[in-house]
Amino acid sequence: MSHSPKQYSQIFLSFLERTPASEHKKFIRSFAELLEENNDLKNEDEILFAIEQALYHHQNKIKVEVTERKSNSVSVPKKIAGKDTEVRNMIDPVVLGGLRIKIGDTVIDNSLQTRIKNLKNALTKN
Amino acid sequence: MKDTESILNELKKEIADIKSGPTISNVGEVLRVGDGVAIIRGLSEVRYSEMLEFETKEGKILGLTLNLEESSVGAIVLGSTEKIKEGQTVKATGNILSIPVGENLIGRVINALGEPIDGGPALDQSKMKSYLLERIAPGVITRQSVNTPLQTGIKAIDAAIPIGRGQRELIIGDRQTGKTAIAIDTIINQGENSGGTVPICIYVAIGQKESKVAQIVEKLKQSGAMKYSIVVSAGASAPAALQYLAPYAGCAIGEYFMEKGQDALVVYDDLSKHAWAYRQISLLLRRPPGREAYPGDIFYLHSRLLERAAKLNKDFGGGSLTALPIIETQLGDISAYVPTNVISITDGQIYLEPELFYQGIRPAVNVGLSVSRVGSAAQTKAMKKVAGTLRLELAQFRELAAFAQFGQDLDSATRIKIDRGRRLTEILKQPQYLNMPFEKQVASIYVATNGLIDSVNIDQVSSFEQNFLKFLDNNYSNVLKDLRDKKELTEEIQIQLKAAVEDYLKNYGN
Repeated sequence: MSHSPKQYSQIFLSFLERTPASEHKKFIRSFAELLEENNDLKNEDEILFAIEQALYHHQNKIKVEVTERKSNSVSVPKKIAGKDTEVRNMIDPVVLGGLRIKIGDTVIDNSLQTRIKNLKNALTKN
Repeated sequence: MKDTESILNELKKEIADIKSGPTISNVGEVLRVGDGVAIIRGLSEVRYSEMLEFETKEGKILGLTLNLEESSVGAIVLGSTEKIKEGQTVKATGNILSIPVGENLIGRVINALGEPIDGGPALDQSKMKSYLLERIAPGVITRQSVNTPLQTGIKAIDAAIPIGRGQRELIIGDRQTGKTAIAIDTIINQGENSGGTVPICIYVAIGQKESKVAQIVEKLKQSGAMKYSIVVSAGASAPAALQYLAPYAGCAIGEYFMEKGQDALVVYDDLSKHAWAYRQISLLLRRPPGREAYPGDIFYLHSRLLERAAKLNKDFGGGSLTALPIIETQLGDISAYVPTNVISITDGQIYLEPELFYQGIRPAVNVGLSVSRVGSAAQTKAMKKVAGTLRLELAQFRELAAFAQFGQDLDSATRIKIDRGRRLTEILKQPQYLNMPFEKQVASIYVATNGLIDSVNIDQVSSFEQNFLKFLDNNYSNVLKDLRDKKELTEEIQIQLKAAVEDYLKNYGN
């Protein structure tokens, strides 16, 4: 690895700021080419994660993932802990009912799936 | 079969106990996994040394955080890594690694996480306490200097390199020199010959062959020592993470008994393999390697473990935790990295030499290079008296032994010293599993150091010793009883011992 994911994210962020919005597409393409040139595409996952983190940090945002069984019925406040929320709604029938919210690294789980799993664990413990 | 109502009531109670509200947890996801370590991203609030839960399809696997980096967390997996996949969710538990400890561990074989591996019944957790694996050693205020002997039942050790309860005595030597034998003999000896309260013995096997551990457990069972022993095993096939944790688990169990005011003895067999396991983990976690590729904190790894051995003073219950770490050297090189570290941490070492072993001097203890820095304070008066002469005469013998090879032209004084030294060496030989109570050790060494057996042929010294002790048992049992009770070598006992030897030699001597 010629640069660490952290370094890539810093490079990405600083150039993104300097590039006018109309040129963003071009810049992103050349960044992807740079990764390939440096033979760093194998670390794609880590680099993307680092860029995501850096962007959130830079924009003072926090990612909120809401997982429900069917419809998206939850309204998430605009700000959590002083940070703007960026909501991503997900539909996953596996949760069965209730919902699971992930704010940053914290998961608040009130899904029927987890409750049933807890019940199963407790009953089969002995 | 219970009636339906009681079953339903039980079920209702169980259901009521289950947390039904939302659960809040700090999570991350597996980035990389392999060779017993996992790199995780996320887990922004996790602490150092916190337990993690990997959620796999087959159930939960525990992990332990060891590296907290800027964008990722390095953790060791306390189970098989095969079931963990990239992208899986990892939960922080908020708990520091601990194991359940209690009286019901006695007689059991467990792994480093406190789970029984002897096929016996599950442990009743309600009777157990949870003890942290990593704890700070007892402070200065709580301690007291060593004052009670830990009888090993081995003459060479109890006389020349005595061990006190609360001491840390290293057993060091090449492979196949009888290191484990000394430790196991010591455990077995605590049954009848402990000379006081019976300490709880904990044998920690680190990276040992499972067959060897099975043999040891069998031997302990046969000799009745399993009644007061616990075996913590992280065999050669166990993940390095468990081998790394096993000694801390053994120590935590020992601390439980120490804090109850009891005595405990922990054998770490062996810390070289422990250092290897830790080296493996550190290199996989990409910590910078240092000398011999060990990480920088290899000294702290062992010092924080051995520092937990202590003798507590009366205000803190008066318990003790004795540690017998074992180190295996390569080709007798005690100046390698890990051996020198552990030598400097412990209160002395028992040095075993392959040359002595092959000469038939077993236990192959090199009395010259072995020391016990604090144990003599705990020796009984009787033993101290005979051991003083023993050590002096052996030292003189070693100095003159070189001359002995040239044979003829020695003056009589030198020859007497050499002969005496040879007889003493003979007297200190002792087969495995034949532990000797303290009073018999004193009697044996007394007759040897006082020249009472100078007339016995050197090759017959050990058979003389055996028969003479039997003779004492049968005809002079009061002398042995006096020695045992008074723990002192009074004039009267000395006279009786001399008389006994004369009596024996007159009737049964050559």
